[in-house]
Amino acid sequence: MAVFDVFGKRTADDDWTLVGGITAPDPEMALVLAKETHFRHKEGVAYAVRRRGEEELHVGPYDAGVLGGVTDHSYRRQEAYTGVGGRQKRVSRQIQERGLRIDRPRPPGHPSRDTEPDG
Amino acid sequence: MNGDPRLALVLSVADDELVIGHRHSEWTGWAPHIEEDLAFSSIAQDEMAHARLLYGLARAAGLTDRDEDALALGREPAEYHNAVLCERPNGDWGYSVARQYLYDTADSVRLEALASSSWRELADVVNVMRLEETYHVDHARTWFSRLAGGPVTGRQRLADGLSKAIGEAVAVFEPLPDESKLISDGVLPRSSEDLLNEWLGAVGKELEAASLDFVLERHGSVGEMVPTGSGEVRGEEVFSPPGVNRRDGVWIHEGGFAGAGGRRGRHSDDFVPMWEEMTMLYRTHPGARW
Repeated sequence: MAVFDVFGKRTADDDWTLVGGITAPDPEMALVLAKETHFRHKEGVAYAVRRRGEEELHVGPYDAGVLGGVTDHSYRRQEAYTGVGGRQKRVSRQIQERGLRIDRPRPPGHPSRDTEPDG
Repeated sequence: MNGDPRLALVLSVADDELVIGHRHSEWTGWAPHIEEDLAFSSIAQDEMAHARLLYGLARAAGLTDRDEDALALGREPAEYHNAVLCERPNGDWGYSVARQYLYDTADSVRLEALASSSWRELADVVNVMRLEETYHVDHARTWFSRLAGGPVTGRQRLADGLSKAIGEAVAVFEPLPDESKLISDGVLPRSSEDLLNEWLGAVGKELEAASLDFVLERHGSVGEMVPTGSGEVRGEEVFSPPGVNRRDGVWIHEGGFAGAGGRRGRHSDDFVPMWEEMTMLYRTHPGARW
């Protein structure tokens, strides 16, 4: 397996920028994998890979309209989780009001529900 | 079941996508390496998103009053129309790659036909799906060629996977209920048998190029009927031995189908355990929103 550097463009006018690296047996597989490892959140409009230590740049076949998907993948992005913490606290309060208790142990070092600040 | 044959058509495609997407998602965290883990998980999410689009279309067209969640998770096993191929457990990576290659190349032929459907809303949804399905075929062919090229263990596992999946892949094109009406209305522009032979001819050439066409020869001579665990057999249905054959240099379909019945709600014994897990939360809390 070789190491490939992965490059992306945020806009069509940008120069190629190094965004990371992946391991793959050859450029074709590197392009298939890099599309999802580095651009599945719509991080760019174009991408390419280059075997580390070589000059040849292999440009991905997928354009801005397809990178990151065309169907609803909003759950992949941070904004999809807006309000999750507040909703969890609200549900926890409702559970307590009903006299119920979720007693699954918390990870070591995590504050217990009893000491957690309200809000 | 609504009497409009468009519902069976939409559910056949949607349920294929949902069920194979669920199976693909079972590789999350377990794929051969982390890059592939992300790629295959993305494909799983794409497939489920496609199912969601199609379920939404079925309701918007008035074919059902069930919403997307109810269609995806609120039906009984015999109400699912997916092909048996999609519900089989993942097995090893060789089988999963073989199945993804066979399914997505078949799906590509089917979607290309549906893109010219007289039902414009369906054609519009299909054209959205095709934008993502192009990558699925790209992924499948890339893996296919890497495993087919060796080393021996990888090639053998791919060949074993192809041998196991090929018969049920043919049954992706099992004729739909009331298909003649769908064809005469232009909703289904070409018959399932016609699409099957287009797919089989192309896949046959690719298998020959990789010297893996023996999996077709074996299927042609040793086809078997798959026991099904749900759904009723209607008296007018005729079963004939499944098979494929090579004539004038082209692989064609002859006879019936291995693993037939999925389009009519008859599934293998692998379906119900998967359905129980997939629908557990929805069945435990019907109507819950999250």
